[in-house]
Amino acid sequence: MPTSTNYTKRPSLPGRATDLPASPNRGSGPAPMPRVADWFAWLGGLGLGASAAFALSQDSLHSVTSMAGFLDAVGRLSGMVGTYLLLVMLLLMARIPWLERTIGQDRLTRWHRRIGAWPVVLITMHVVTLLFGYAATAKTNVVNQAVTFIQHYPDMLMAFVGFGLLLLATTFSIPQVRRRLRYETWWTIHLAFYFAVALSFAHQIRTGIIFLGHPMTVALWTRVFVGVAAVLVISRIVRPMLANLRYRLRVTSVEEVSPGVFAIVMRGHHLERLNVSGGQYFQWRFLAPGLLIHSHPYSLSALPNPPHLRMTVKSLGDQSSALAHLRPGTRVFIEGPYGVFTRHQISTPAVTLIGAGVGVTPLRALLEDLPHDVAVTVLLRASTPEDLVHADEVRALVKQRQGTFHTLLGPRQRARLDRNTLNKLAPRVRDSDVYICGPEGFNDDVAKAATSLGVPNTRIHQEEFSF
Amino acid sequence: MTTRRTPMVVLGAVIGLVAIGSFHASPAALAMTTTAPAPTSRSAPTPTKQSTTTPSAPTTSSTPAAPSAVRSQTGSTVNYNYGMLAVSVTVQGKTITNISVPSLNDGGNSYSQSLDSMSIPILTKEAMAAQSAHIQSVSGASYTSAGFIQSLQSALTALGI
Repeated sequence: MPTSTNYTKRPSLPGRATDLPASPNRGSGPAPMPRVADWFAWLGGLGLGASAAFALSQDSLHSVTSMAGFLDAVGRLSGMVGTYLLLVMLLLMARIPWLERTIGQDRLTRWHRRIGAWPVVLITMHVVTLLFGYAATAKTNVVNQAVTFIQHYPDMLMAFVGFGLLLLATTFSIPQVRRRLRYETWWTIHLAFYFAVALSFAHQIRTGIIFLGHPMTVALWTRVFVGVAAVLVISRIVRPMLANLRYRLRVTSVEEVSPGVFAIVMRGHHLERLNVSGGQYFQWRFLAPGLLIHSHPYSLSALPNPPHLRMTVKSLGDQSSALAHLRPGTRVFIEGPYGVFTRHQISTPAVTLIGAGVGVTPLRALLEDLPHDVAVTVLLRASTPEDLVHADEVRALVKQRQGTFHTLLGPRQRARLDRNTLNKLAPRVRDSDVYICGPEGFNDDVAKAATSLGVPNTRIHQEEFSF
Repeated sequence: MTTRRTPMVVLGAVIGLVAIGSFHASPAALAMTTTAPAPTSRSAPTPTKQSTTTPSAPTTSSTPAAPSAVRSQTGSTVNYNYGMLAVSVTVQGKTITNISVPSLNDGGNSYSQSLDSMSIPILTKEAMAAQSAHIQSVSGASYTSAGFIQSLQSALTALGI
């Protein structure tokens, strides 16, 4: 049941610290850098080919004709390529700023998951083939050979422990297993990957035939490892720490703006230096019981209004209900901003913003950040009028821009945003960039409706709030 | 967008493979460091303990290339990464009659020792059969093999074979 709004009522903006209107000097964080992402892609490919070539360089045609020689060659190749892919997976999750603002974390995560199974398969292959290959040469059984490796080869015990950690961490990352775990449990076990990679390094350069007697290769490979470690430490530990020393955020108020939805306003220092685009999110960590250990992603629900910052969350899980009880004065650590759900994706003179429930939050901030000459249509869906989050603010912002604003109220089955409804409420949708934020099912439905109306995929931008 | 960068990754991988592959193709042999060029010379060869055919020490040195003279030569000592070895060869005329490893130091690593004791007899047999150093390395013992071949070749070269 779509209901149009014709701005009869003067919008009453919540009198909190994040008052409108947007000042021109906030928002619009740095633009994506597709070239840099291209370079990363090239470099990633080059490294993959080079790793394989280094592993193969020790084999001649006749050395692989015997069974043992063949197993050794396969073992070397799978070990090198598997390790390389593990390093790539770490880098994909290293929050490298250029990649984050260009590709976006959800797609980086998708690549991370797509590579996912390969390292463990290859490294298992490495272990198995070398055990059998060496056992065949030494004319002994595999168990004896494993004992020999651990006793007599340098750093092999560490390598075996690392392999064990790799198997463990991978087991708990299989989607079917992971689904049964609490996020925190999975996260903690996932840390084992770092240890697995670190523990494996010494045996590579001290027993690997491609490294022994090749100081240049050792130097190169060591640099690769040190480089990856440096990127991880800098981008996941040092930079966030420096940023938080600068911003020093504390909670000032928590307010229930819709049933079960809370706006959390924080106060900090130097927030004008927070280079954030509307629609982006941060990883938030509150120094409060039950919230300290893990950070969680939430969008800003308004552009920063120094010295204030606001985000809006729905109390879904344990985590977000704990957020509802935050006390003023609680310290807040942030990491970010992340996300490509921003004005930088716009390729047409019109945008259509479509949100459901608490999914309105990034749209609300994005709306503030859109270029002035862009024609705006906003559609919000909720079960009841009370469930419309920040609707007054959105309405005011749309009015300011002389755009179109519609709400769609009712139970999910009846008030659907299908092809016809979309076409009726947003006639310009086919000529616009479409930003969708809601639960997964909602996003899929709306994206399908937009596609069927002729919107190309490159102009459909989605963000899911149920991470 | 996802598919847009896939060709870059694939093409990058091919370039990396070819570049490193061709760079490494020529020096594919193990990088051996000859630490001690064999002190043995044609004039004063070290008689090896297995040189059963050596009638007397000066035989080798003073033989002015008699066609059927028995000569011995120890090749250069090679550092094969897990230790040092030197191969000694005895020839009668142009025929290799004996090959031995008088100097072997595998750093006290028992696995390395077992690998050496397994591979050296095979290498010796192969070299005797081939009557040259052009033999295949024993898989799993590629370092020992490469060191053995290099030292043997240096001995044969010194003998002019």
